[in-house]
Amino acid sequence: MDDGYRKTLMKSKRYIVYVLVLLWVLWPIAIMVLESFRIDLSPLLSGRGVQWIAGVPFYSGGFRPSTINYFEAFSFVAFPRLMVNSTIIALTSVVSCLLIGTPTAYALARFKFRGKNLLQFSLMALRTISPFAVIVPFYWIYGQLNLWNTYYGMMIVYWVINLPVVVWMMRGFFNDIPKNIWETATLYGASEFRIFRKIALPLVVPGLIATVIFAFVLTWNEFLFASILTGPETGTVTKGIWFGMGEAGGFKVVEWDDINTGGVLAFIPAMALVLVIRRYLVHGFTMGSYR
Amino acid sequence: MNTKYLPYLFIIPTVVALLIVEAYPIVYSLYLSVTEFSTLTTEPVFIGFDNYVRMIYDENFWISLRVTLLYVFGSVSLAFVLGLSFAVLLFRDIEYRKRLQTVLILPIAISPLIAGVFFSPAAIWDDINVVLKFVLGLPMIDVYNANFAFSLVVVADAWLWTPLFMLVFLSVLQSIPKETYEAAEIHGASNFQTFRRVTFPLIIRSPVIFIIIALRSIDAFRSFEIPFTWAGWIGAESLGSPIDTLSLFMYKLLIFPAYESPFSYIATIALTMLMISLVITTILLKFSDMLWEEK
Repeated sequence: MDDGYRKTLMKSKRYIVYVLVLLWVLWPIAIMVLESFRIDLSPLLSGRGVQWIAGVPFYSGGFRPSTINYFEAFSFVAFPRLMVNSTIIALTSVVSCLLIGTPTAYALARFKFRGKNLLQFSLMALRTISPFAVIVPFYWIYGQLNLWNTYYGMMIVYWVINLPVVVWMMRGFFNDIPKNIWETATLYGASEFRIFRKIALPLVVPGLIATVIFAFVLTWNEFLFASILTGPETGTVTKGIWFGMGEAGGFKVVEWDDINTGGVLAFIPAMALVLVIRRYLVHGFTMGSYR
Repeated sequence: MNTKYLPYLFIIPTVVALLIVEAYPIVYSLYLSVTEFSTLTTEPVFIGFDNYVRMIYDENFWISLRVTLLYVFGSVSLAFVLGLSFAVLLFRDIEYRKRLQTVLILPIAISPLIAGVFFSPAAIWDDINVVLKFVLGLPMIDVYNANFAFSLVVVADAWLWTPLFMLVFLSVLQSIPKETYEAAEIHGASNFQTFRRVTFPLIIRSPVIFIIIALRSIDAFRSFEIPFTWAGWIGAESLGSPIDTLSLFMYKLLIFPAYESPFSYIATIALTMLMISLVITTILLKFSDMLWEEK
C-alpha cells in the first residue's frame, strides 16, 4: 500500500466520522425545522413519491415548504405574547438575582466569615433541590397572596434556578482577580464598598454579561415551574409550545406543526445567546469552578 | 467600620432570598408531609409519619425510583462516553475544531421539552423506522412499547447533554501540557496507547469530571421534561409506567385528581428526594473546594 493511498483512506475515514457526528447532532434539529415548514421526509426516504389514489395520481409528501405555521404562530397562537412573557420573566428574575447575588459572590470570593460553609451548602442545595419540593409550597402560597399567574411570582420562583448559578459563576470571576489588587486598594485606604463598586465590579463586567446570558437561557428553557405556576396571561414560551395559550394540566398537546414552529422560534434566540457566551459555558455548568 | 461584620452586609440579600425560596418551601413541605391535606381548602390534620409509610408501601414509588436510577445511569454514562469521544475527535483536529465545536454545542441551547418533541415517535423515530423498513429492510422499532420507549427517552437525554461533557473534556484535554504527549510519542506509544495510558487517566483524575458527573446525575435524577413529553406521545398516563421518573410520578399525582391527598404525599416524596440530593450536594462541595484550592 503506498503512502498517498493510505492518506486518502485516513482522510475519508475521518470525514465519514464527521458526517456521522454531525448527523447525530443536527438531524433531530433539522427534523424540527423541516416539520415546522410542514415537510414530511418519510415519503421521500421510502421512495413513495407519486401514489395512485382512486385512479388519480397523488403526490404524497415531498418538498412542499410552507411558511403558514409561522404566520399562524404570529397571529392565532399569540406566540409574540409568549415571547414577551418569557423575556420579562427571565430578565427580571436574572437581573434581580444579580443584584442579590453579586455582593454575596464577592464576599464568598474575598472574605472568610462564620457561616460561610452553611451559606455555600444552602446555595448548592438549592441547585440540587427537587422542583416539587418548591412547587407545592409556592402553589399554595401564591394562591393565598394572589401571586399565581403574575410576573412577580415567576420572578421570585425562578430564583430557585438562577440564584445558585449566579452566585457561583460570579464567585469564579471574582476569584480570578489577582489578590494584590485588593491589598493595594486597601493600602490606599479605599473602603470595602468602594473596592467592590469601583474596582471589583468593573473588572468582572464580561463575566457579569456571560452570567446574565447563561441564567437567561436556563430560565428561558425552563418548563416545569412555568407549566404549573403561570396562568393564561403569563405563560412562557416553553409552556406555550406544549399547552398553547390559556390551557394547563394533563398531557394535552397543541397541534404538531405548532409545537415544532414554537420549538424553532424558542430555539433561535437561545441558540444565538449560547453561541455568544460559548467561552463561558463550562464555567457556568461547573458552578464557576472550572474554565 | 468594623471589618468583622462586613461580610454579612454583603450576604444579607442572598440570605433573605434563600429564606424565601429555600427555607420556606422545605419547612412547608415538612409540615405538609406530616399532615393530611387533601385539597387546598380543607383544614390540615396531623397524621404523623403516615405519608412516609404510605410511600414505603407504594409500589409505584419504587418503580419510579428504579426507573429514575436507571435513567440517571443510562443518560449520564451515554453522555459521558459520547462526550469523551467527541472531545478527543475535536482535540485531535486543529483544522476544523472551532467550526465543529460551534455546531456540536447547539443542543445546549435546546429546552429539554423541545428535545422531547423532536425525539418523539412522530418525528425522529418515524423517520428512523422508515429508513429501517424501506431502505434497509429491517423490522421497525416499536416506539409505543413503553419498555422500549424508556431507552429512547434516555437516548434523547444523552443527546441533550453530550455537548456539556464534550466541552468539559475538551477544556481538560487542553489543560494537559504538550510535553506529556511528546514524552509518550518518544517512548513509541501508539495513538490508542497514549489515550489509554496517558490521556484517560489524566482526565479521570481531574476533580471537574466529578463535579460534572455529580451535577448531571442530580439533574437527571430530577429530570422531568423528556419523560413527560413521552408520556404524552405514548399515552402512559397511569402511575408506575416504565418511563415514570420520580418527577413525572409526582406530576401525575398533582395533575390527576383521582389520587388521595396528593399535596402531602408529593411533599413527602419531594423531601425524600431532597435527602438524596443533599448527599450529592456534599460531594459537589467537596470537589468544588478542591478546585478552588488549586487556584
